[in-house]
Amino acid sequence: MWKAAAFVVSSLLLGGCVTGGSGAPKLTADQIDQKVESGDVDMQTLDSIVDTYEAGGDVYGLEGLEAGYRPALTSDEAGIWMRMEKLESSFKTSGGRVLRSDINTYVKTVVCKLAGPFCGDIRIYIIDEPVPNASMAPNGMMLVHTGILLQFRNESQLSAVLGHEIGHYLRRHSLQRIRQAVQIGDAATIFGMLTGGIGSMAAAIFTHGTLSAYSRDHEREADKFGALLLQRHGYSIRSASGVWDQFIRIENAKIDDDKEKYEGDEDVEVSKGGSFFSSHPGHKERRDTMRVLADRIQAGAGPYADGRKEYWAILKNYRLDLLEDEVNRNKPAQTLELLKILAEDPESLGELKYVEGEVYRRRRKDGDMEKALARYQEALKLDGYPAKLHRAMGTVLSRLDRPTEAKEAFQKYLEAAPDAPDNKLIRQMVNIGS
Amino acid sequence: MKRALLLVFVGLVLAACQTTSARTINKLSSQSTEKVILVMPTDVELSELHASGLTTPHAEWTENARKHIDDALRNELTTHNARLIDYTKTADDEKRTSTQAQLQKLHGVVGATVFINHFNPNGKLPAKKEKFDWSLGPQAKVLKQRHNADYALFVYVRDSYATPSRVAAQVIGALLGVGIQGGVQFGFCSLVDLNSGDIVWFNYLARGHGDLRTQEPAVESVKELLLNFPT
Repeated sequence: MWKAAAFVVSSLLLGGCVTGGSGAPKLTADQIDQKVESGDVDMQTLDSIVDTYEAGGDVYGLEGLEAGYRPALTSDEAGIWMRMEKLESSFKTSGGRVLRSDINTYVKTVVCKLAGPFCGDIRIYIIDEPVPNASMAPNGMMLVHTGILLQFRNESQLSAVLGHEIGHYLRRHSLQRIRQAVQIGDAATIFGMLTGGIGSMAAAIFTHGTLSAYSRDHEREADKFGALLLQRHGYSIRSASGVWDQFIRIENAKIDDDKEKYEGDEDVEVSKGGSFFSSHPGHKERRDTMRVLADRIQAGAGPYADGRKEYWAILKNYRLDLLEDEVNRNKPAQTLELLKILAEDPESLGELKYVEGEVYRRRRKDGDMEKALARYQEALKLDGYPAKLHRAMGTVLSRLDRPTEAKEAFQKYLEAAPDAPDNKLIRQMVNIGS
Repeated sequence: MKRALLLVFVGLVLAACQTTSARTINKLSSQSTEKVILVMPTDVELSELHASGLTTPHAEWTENARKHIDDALRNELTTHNARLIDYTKTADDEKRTSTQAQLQKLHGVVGATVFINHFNPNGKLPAKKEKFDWSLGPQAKVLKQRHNADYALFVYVRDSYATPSRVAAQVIGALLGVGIQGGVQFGFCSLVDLNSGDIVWFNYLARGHGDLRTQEPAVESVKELLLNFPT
């Protein structure tokens, strides 16, 4: 049942913002509330948020929500919250939840800093899932995948995404979308029935396309919200916008992975996404918007922090685990691109080089074992490589039919990790007496 | 995904109109003098069904339905010579390590599986050979130890009601000769023997009428749900 609910939710969960465009008429907070209530949020509203902010207005006050808000039992919103609460209770007891306290405390602290008075209304669940994503349910349940934590280089990038999700909550985007889906769905159904055939198909396409466009506007608004929260807390918007550059690079690499995956399959045309039906604006649009916002509200004044030090202090304890999960996704081109991105920061480069070797060792195309070995050898000259590098090296050397060196590598592994759980197995493999 | 499947099956089963219950015991039993049934939190959700087929949950209806169902369960089961106790949630239920919480999730999956693979003619599992043997496993003992109960009763109900726009679509459909489904009432309940974890009685309800929002028809639904309950 939850799969179904999760499916419905995933279309409602939100993960956005944009266009500069000045000259829109300025709205009062009341007018904005009215628009939100009626589900009529457009680009003018977006601009009005920035205008209000620039005029010294309170970002938190814009959404008409009060801290501690709960919908009235008779409202449609209460029904949506009820369904989400059930889903949340299943996440609470989910085996996929990351329970380690340092990362939970850290993300919670950043969310609370960003969300201010709404801190108590947002509950964070870090989910052990390598697909990079984060989402917000209408009742304040925020899901953060471990995979997206690996993608960030600093706290400003993390904050841009968390601020975006907080924006979805405060602006009640899910509620607006559900109302819109009901209204448009009703109209399209009746229209489709009356016209039949091609008419019902047109109605279905219209519905999907309109809802997707609506969704993209919400993403844009949430992106803008995220940027304003960055500004409020002294984070560099430009540095945060780098996360979109990173996603663009990985998206380009995805084409290589897809080509590999669908090789020989004529039914599949490998291309980048982005269409009438996209639920989110393209990465490029989102990056450009962040840059425009950076210029508009962070011109000159400063300094603005990127929070690399703070982020690394937490991530360093996890990164190898997360990288191994990433390798397990079996998307070698994307993983290699990510490793290049992460290597732009100076810490633990040996760890990254080791993982690069792992990508080749696991891919096993012609010449990959040699490539893997070369990466391990480079890693040995760098900081932060793990003891298991020696084991991987032993495996690769065995494959390359170099048994003496392989044995040496395994011996080094046993010395470097005497308490490793596979210690006995490796001893047996290389016939070392205990 | 599962929900979509279920709905399809509801349609099939409605058409087939066959028995809706199965049991492996005729009488309740207990090692002590008194038979105790632990009533698990009722999993209920009432929704509005819109013209497009989209459903949106309704919190107030759901609250009322929960009350009506719980009251009716109590009334109906008093004649079965057993004492009922309510499962009360504790802070422990929010923890991943809570066996009690995991058992409830497990029942959600097993219950839906029983419905799909035992009662739906297209979902029959050949290896089962029509035998009704479904279980939550020996961990169910945890519930027995914590609550001093012999059995646990699980109830799952979903019910939807057509909005005026859906009704309009139905009317237009009727004029055009197209059948459009109105609201659907679907539910199942099962009785689990807490010594073994085995499901000893199971019954489902799937139909296009009924109303859980008000007391009287809710009592009727619960009576249907408890059909062939062991005495």
